[in-house]
Amino acid sequence: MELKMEHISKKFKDKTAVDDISLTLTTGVWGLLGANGAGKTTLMRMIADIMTPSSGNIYFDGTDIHKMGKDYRSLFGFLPQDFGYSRDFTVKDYLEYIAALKDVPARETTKKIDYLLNILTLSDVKRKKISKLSGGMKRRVGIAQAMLNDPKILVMDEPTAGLDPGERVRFRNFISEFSHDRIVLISTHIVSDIEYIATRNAIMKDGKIIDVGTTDELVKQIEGKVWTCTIPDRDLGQYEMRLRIINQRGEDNNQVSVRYLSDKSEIEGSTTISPRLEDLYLWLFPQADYEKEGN
Amino acid sequence: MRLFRLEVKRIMKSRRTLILFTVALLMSIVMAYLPISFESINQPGENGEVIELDGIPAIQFKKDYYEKTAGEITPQKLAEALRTYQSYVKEYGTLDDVPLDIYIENIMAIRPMLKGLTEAFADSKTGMAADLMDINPDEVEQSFYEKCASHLNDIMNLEQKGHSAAARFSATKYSNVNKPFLLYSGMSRDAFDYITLYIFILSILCIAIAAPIFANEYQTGSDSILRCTKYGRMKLAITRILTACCIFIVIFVLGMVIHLSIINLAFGTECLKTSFQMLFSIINLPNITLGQLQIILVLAGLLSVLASVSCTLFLSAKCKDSLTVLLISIVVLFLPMFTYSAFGGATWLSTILPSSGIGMQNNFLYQLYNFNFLHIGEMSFWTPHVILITAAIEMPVFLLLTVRSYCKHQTA
Repeated sequence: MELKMEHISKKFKDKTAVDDISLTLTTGVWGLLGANGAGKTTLMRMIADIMTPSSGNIYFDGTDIHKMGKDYRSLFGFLPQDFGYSRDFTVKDYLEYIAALKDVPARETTKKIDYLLNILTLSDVKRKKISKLSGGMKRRVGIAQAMLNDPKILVMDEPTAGLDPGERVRFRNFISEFSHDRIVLISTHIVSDIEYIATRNAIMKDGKIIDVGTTDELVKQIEGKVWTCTIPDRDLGQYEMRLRIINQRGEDNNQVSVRYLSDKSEIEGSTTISPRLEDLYLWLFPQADYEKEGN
Repeated sequence: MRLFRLEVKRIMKSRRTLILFTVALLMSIVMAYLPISFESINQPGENGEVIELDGIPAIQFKKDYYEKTAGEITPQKLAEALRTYQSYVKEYGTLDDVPLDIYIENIMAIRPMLKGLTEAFADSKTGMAADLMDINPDEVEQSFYEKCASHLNDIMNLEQKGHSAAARFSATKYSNVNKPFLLYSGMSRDAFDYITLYIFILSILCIAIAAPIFANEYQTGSDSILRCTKYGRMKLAITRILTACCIFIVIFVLGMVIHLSIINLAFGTECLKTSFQMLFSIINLPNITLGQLQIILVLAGLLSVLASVSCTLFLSAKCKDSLTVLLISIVVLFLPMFTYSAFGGATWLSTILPSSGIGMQNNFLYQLYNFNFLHIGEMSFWTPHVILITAAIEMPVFLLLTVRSYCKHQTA
């Protein structure tokens, strides 16, 4: 099972959001990383077939997804970045409605909804209006709707936004189990959410895929570039000015333990440590990049 | 069917729909009550004072009072009534000088019958109504209905000069009108005006319900999820349209049933046998009774409301926010009214829009009793026909465009 993108581009009036991307997604969890404005959402919308590419095609097992129409959509689950819903829907009514649209058999719908609500710890708010739920709960309702039809292809744009740490752990475990023999594509800013569950990652920058690989393969490129050391806290400001400090932790005796990115040691006594996906993300997308406005 | 049921549930659970639905039903009662409350009549009391009856007592009094003159309006009956009228006016000088008790006892009952005479014997050149005192009762007895046809011909010559097709159409249609006319006391023109006004209110309410049906999904971004589902495109669009139309039909029918039930209960059902010509103009073309007029107004109103709502649904599938849809739809709804007033009569624009049958002067009822024709070359078209045909065409066209727009919509 594969989802193949061939030279897809999306041009808006004054901007190319996605620029000639070719990528083949196979089964497993795929992390899609990129700063705001990198084109992740646009790419996901094209995969969801709710936005037509300016050029190029997307194929599912060799067939153009647009031509597959509802056959493709019946295999598909999607959680957009902004989860919209009708104000008057309760959680149960909404999921029943989506289940009907997804052609989930009526006799299975209640069972399926109860299962997902239980997994996503939403059973208590089943009869509440979605508009009355917290941001995290709304997000989980969004996740539930995407999974109602047991999709073969699941695309989620920032699924963990608004979830607390416990919910994020449960989400990760759930997705790991769910992803067998399925294509799951997740875009997130919270790199740790996909670091340990993503089979492969694709990194987007300025509308292009700049790298694809497993977490281990990707982080190799910054091996020897992640440093840690302890400095007096009075010097922190000075180092912050010239180094890319990605983490700092207060220690005893007015000392600060810092983690920084650099081609070479910049502070005496620094030692290299194993890079993580988040380090790569910050290496590729310095602050200035991910402060850009969204796509 | 499952999706249809869930869609009905979704719309009917919306607070906005529930409020508008309640308003529609309440207005049906208010709009029925108003013409009843307008009914009024003066009658002499025991000590010579004048007693004014209002509302239901006035209607009841009139029903009993006019019972003796009710029935077929034969030329003989008309001539006899005219002789009676002329004798009293001659005796007292003018109608205003006739004492109230004598007026009520002898003249008031025959006045509704005589109303048509002034029209039928109007000046052929100017169309000015004749004075009842100048009309010869013998002539009425001999040729009242021929005079009516002749007056229609005069009016067509005055109002549709150079459009022989319109004159021919009118003459043929009028020759098919059942004569003698029937007259039973009860329903006033106000009651019919309020039916059309209620239809106008219903159309505003239905448009307000229809405006967010698609646009709201675009606005909240929920369409991104819906259109990714198996049935989230054409089937969803068709289901939404069907659901909306069913809900509008239910609201409309329920509202009209309540409204007409109250009116008919108050005014009585016997007056529904009255010929259209006896309430409006003796030369009107529709060959219908007031009961049939009620049914026609309901059906034509429903068609116009559905055509207007179809236009709103199309706008809803096309525009990105429901407020814009609502504003444009209201403009489209009011446009026939404004153009009718601005141009001082029916124009193509005031007649071919989906809401052309709804409004004030332009509404379907007014078109039935006015002599408005639209012309293309030698051909002439009676405006009620144009309103019905264009609405019947526009409704499916707008609905098809709605489905197409929704399916083609691209997430921003």
